[in-house]
Amino acid sequence: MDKIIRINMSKEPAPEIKITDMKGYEGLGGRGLTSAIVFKEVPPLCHPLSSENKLVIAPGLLSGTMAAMSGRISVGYKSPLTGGIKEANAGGQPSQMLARLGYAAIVIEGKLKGEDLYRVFINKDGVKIEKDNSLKMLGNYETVERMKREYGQKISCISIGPAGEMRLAGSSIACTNTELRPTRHAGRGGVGAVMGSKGVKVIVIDDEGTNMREPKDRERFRQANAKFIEGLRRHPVTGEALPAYGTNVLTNILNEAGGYPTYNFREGRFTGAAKISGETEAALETERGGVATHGCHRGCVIRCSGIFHDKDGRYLTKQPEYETVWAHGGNCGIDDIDKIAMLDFLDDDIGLDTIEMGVTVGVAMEAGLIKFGDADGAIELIKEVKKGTPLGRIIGSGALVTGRIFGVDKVPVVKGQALPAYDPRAVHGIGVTYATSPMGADHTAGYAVATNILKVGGFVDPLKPEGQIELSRNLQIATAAIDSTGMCLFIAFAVLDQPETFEALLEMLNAFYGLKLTGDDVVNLGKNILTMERTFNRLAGFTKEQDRLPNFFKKEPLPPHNVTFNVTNEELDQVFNW
Amino acid sequence: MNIQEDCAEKRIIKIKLCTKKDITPLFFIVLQEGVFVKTQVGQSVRTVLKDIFNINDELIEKRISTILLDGKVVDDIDSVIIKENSSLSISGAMPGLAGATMRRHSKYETFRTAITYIEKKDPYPVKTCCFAIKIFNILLVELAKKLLKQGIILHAYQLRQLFSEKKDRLKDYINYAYINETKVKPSDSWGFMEKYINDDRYLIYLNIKTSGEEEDDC
Repeated sequence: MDKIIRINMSKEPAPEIKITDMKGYEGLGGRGLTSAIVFKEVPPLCHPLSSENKLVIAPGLLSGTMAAMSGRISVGYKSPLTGGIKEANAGGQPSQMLARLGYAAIVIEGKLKGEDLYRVFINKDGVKIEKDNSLKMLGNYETVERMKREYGQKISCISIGPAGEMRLAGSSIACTNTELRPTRHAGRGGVGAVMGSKGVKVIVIDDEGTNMREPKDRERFRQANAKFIEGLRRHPVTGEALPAYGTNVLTNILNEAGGYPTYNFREGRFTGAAKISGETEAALETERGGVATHGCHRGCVIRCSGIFHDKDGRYLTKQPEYETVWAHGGNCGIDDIDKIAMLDFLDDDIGLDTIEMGVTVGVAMEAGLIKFGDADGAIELIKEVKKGTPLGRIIGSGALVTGRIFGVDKVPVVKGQALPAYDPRAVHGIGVTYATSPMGADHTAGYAVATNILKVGGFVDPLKPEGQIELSRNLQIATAAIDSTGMCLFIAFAVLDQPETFEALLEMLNAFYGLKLTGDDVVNLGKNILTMERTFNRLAGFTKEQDRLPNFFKKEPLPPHNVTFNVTNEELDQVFNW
Repeated sequence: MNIQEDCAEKRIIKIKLCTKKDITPLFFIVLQEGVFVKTQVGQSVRTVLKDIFNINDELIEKRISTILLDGKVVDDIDSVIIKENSSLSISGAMPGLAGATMRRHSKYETFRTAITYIEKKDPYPVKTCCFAIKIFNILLVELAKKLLKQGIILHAYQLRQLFSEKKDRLKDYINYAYINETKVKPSDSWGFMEKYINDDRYLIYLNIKTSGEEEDDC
């Protein structure tokens, strides 16, 4: 994995493909690589949809190897939603395939003149780009079907739907899963719009004729991987709860804790939560002949995904995730899991971020466009996006734009990006991360990696009130590092509690690359990534005033506990003081 | 409806179902929404959990990683007291930073100090009454059957809703029903039960046992 594919869409008469080495980016992968390229090569003040922006797609350092859970792919760019640097990542098959072909990244740069649409094909023989206007405004599912007909079943695809082609700020990039369905999305920040602005509809990857990437020390790597897998299987979250119920198992507990944002963040509890919980969803999937335990990429041992069938037992969509079920469900007062699954399918097909869309529909409900609880109305709003009507384009542009156009003063966004499914008034520490992450409101920016193992920033006294500032900082550092490996963030649950599982992860990296990385090196990697991202944002015009939650979180008490977000601005400004 | 008055036997209809096979999963939805149990309150969370589920300390420590009382996260299950009208929720290990934050004695407990349960110092009397319980996650599989065997109390409408969705499947599984301790033939059991579950004045004390696994009366 020592080559970068660079596709310059500005070249005429046809886009130009160059294969370059890793000079200047050696040793980087995933988010580390995407953020480094964007930081060095994209002017911070450029328009995100201009020729100066670049779309960087990078597998992780361990992708394409035998390492379990190493199938995440990172996509970096300047975001049309936040105006800052962005990394969105996804599961599915493309990361493993691209890595096995030896590519550390695809960089799409420049901009087409005109409105043509292109597809890219990558296999062991090289890279081709072809004009294909027959794909215009197709949904992700139909696009992938056409690629299957042309290239066979052993491919993977990275594609955009109509939302990306329309360059909407709520658009996503789809990656195909093990069944070649476009269900795994790099969702956040309007990433699909950047791909659409480059005029690329789909990247098809065929890794036939390639082998697993070979570690420097095969036996040591094999042993570390076995220890890592054993740790994941032994842990009650990665070994039991996630495989059985998926991420949506969180619904009940967040709801019970009064931290489940309901009716556009008006309340912290939703009366219909049990009807849309992970437990209920998994039982329904099994009853209808779907699958409640399913991996999104080969080599996944947690298998937190699933397959959702409709009432007639036919495939509808993948198992809607917690964030999706919350955004389209409780946040909008909808307790019908079939309707939520339909919204999930539409988002995937049109190529939309489910969090952004759920929050946007909630804002539209706040505006009185439709009523809270109106599931059919929500479905129609999302269908408007596909049609490209003026209303659809407003909705597809996200919560901030929708709030502005319909005169709503309660819009839950940070840096223009919709908040995920945890109310920061109940869980202040997550609010600290929402406010300060260079990514905008992002629940995965400071997910969870063993602070005490990494000893980032020294020992944190949990009894001190300021502990949450240090914790948020440490988690953001550790998460940035993990995002560079290609590892699914869900490994964090086992790594959090089991030091030997974290050691196994480090050992895999060391055995694969012949390195002697320590926890400190991982910390420094995370810090370097965050420093680049923060610097880019500063040069793009961000100040500390953007590191804030909307004011209503401080003013409006959240029932049932009637709590507010009480972390001060001065405390927030300490997060990146290291 | 005053739950404590009604729990004091006035309007409780006792239904005991003896089933041909384990039907516990059919009740997962109401167990997530919340049911009542009648026991001695004024005792610690740990004592009450041991009483109502008949489980030991090891299982509590290893499996019940997240506990909420009245929607607030409980860290110390020995000092926090269950009271009249309390609502207790229990869960196995939860994913995500939020899930880890909600755990007992989480490394991230400073993240959720706003919703951590703080016990008042006032003494609270031990007495028998009802409190609400909700079961989530893998504990549904591990503990629901034990609770149904001990008996749960739920509103008539909850059972009506459940039966309306699952009636056909449930009918096939019933060996015998006991209604107010009178044995009723399977063919008559639905008629008797429907009389009560269609009347919102009642609370239903429901006790489910599986033939072949339980006592002789099933």
